Amino acid sequence: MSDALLDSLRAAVEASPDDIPLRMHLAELLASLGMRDEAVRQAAAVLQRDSGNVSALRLIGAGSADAPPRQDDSAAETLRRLDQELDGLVPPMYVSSEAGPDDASLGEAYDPEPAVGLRLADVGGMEEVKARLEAGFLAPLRNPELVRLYGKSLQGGLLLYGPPGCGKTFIARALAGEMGARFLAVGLADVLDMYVGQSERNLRDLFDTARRSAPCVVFLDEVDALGQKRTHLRNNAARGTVNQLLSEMDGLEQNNEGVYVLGATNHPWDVDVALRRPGRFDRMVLVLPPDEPAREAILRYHLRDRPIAGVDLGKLVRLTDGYSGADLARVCETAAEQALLDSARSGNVRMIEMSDLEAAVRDVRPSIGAWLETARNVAQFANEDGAYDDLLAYLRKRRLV
Amino acid sequence: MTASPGGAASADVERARALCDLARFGDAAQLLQRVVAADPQNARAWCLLAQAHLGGHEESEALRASRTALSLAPDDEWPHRLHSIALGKLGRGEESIAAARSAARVAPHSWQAFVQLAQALLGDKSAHQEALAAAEQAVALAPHEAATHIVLGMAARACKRHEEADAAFRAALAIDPQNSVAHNELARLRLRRSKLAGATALADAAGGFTNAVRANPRADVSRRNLDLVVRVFLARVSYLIFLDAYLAGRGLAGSGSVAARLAPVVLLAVPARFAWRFVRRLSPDLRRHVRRVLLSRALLIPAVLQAAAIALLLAAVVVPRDARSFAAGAAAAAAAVARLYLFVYAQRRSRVRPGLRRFVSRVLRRRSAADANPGSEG
Repeated sequence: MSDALLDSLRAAVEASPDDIPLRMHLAELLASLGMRDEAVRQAAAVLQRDSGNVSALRLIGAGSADAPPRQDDSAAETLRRLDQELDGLVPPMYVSSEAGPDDASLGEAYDPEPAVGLRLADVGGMEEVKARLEAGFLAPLRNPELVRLYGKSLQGGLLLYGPPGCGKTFIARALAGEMGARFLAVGLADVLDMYVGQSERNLRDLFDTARRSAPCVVFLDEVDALGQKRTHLRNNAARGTVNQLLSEMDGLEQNNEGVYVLGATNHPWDVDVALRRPGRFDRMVLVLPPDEPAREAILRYHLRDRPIAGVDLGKLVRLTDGYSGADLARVCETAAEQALLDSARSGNVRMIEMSDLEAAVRDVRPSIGAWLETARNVAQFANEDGAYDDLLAYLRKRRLV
Repeated sequence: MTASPGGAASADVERARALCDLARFGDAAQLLQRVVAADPQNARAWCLLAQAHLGGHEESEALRASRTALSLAPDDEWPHRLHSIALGKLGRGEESIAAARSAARVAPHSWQAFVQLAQALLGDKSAHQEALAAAEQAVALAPHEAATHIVLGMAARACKRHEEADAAFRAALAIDPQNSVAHNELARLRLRRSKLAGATALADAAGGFTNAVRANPRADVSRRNLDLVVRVFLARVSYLIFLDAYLAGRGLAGSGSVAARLAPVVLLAVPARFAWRFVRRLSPDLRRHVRRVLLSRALLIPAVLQAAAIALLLAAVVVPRDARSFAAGAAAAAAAVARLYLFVYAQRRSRVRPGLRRFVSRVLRRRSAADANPGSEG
């Protein structure tokens, strides 16, 4: 059994999505190779077309059990051998324990992580963003007396916004590190749990935990999911969640001293306007696709443990203007994949070369195009209060408006 | 509707519903595929899966999911409605209407069923009156839902009852002032009703499309319609300059009087007034946008041609008598070429398949304003 055969079968299924026996054959094959997740997906697709398909139901039933994958199959054996051959030469491509700048894993909800050593200085490039964070958020926090002298308030949260995959989560963690604060992250999964559970109480518990752990940064990732415009929501629980969030951020019932709320979103225009009023997310910082120094840092990071030879990093940085951090990670992975496949085909292990990376840049297009389209509409027609002046300036600089 | 047997599955269905609410259709579909794999009899999950696929523009998958939901819960309205929407998106109009009729038959008190029935019927030119009746029924069932008024407006517009359509779209906006579809549809109506020299209506249409984009920045359709308004503006300026040049040319040919000689300049007041009134009525951000579109590479050619036509008309006043008619004729030609360019540009953008008959029939019948794109579903 070879990967090529599997690929051919996948292609055949893609070409004839309604061919149930073919899809079932692929599902069974995948299951026999221990690729349970994909097998279950294929079986689910079969059930979508034929809800009573006994084989698919049986396979899904078996898929949920903890059946160990078969190791005696020739394809599995080949892959294992190849992996062994490359061991020490090529580090694993998808190492889950090593979080990149853009995929830092979120902490367990309601369980604040202790202060981490990460600092803004660890964020490559993006000097403008760092300066704005320093001036608008960190400096007031470090100088509360001065803030009081000038009659300013320490209340209010900060909303990081920008295209997906550009390091908002990483920056939020670095901010928490700068402040020496604990970090309590709330992601989309937690939000969905709130929707199906007792949303208001869950949110109250979350802020109570943050208050007990002060100083603590509450980081609301994808805040547009948690605080979406109430006019867009049909779900009562979701509306209740927004109301509760407003109340918690205002600290109406309890003192929010030492609780700093950071939000991140790709779509600030979907966030309920009430959440952007003074005392809530009243400061917004645009996190743009990485600039040249940031791209260099990100590329270095993703290439650091890979066998590379003759890579012109400066050229690569120039070629990837407009790429997000996530896109850059994909470029490196695609190039590594290409070199790996070549090595497997030829039997000669080779390094990742500049040509692999250039080909990967051609394959991986910047993913922020759709975001830019929407952002352009917002900056041009929905910027009455000047909230998106930064965005407008960026779009003008890129001649997009 | 068949209830989900397991609590976990039920929670996952709720999560998926929330994901659909948040327009995260891909995530919702993935989650629901797992739910239906574990519980293939869960009609609600199949319906949500169809909805998630529809949201993700995966119409074929949506059709399969709705078909399964239909087989599991034939007495429920939702599967019929989803099935109708999926069929409509796939261009299977008659089947879409049949499915929508089934939805309305199964649930005669469901306003959603009548909204879908009206929308499906709007796809059939011979059924616009019936669409209007279905839309009226939807409004009667749910007068506080903006979607019912929007579909009523669309049906009334299809029946050429423009006053009623206008009132219906306004009613929708009174209920939901941020309704992007209602803004878009009202602006389309204004664009369609605006007269050749009706600068105010044209500017109001542009303002309406801007409001639609403002309410929903993802409304690409409204953004395209906004650009269309600029093209319509240019096209009308071309017509007016052409008319000016034609009349001036006739006057110059027939008489050598001072009045005839000054006619080109005097007549230029008409397109100038039209352009001035249009621009004056635009908001500052819209003015900037119009300027940017006019100076874009695509529309620079007609803009330059119109400028050339104006220059030629002005020149016709001062050039020797023999050259005056020629200058006016050249101005008319420049204006005509500008209009033709805009027409070809619009055709290329709408990717009309080549074919002389089709081309000619479009030239004869189609008004520029009718190009306006409909909004997405409410």
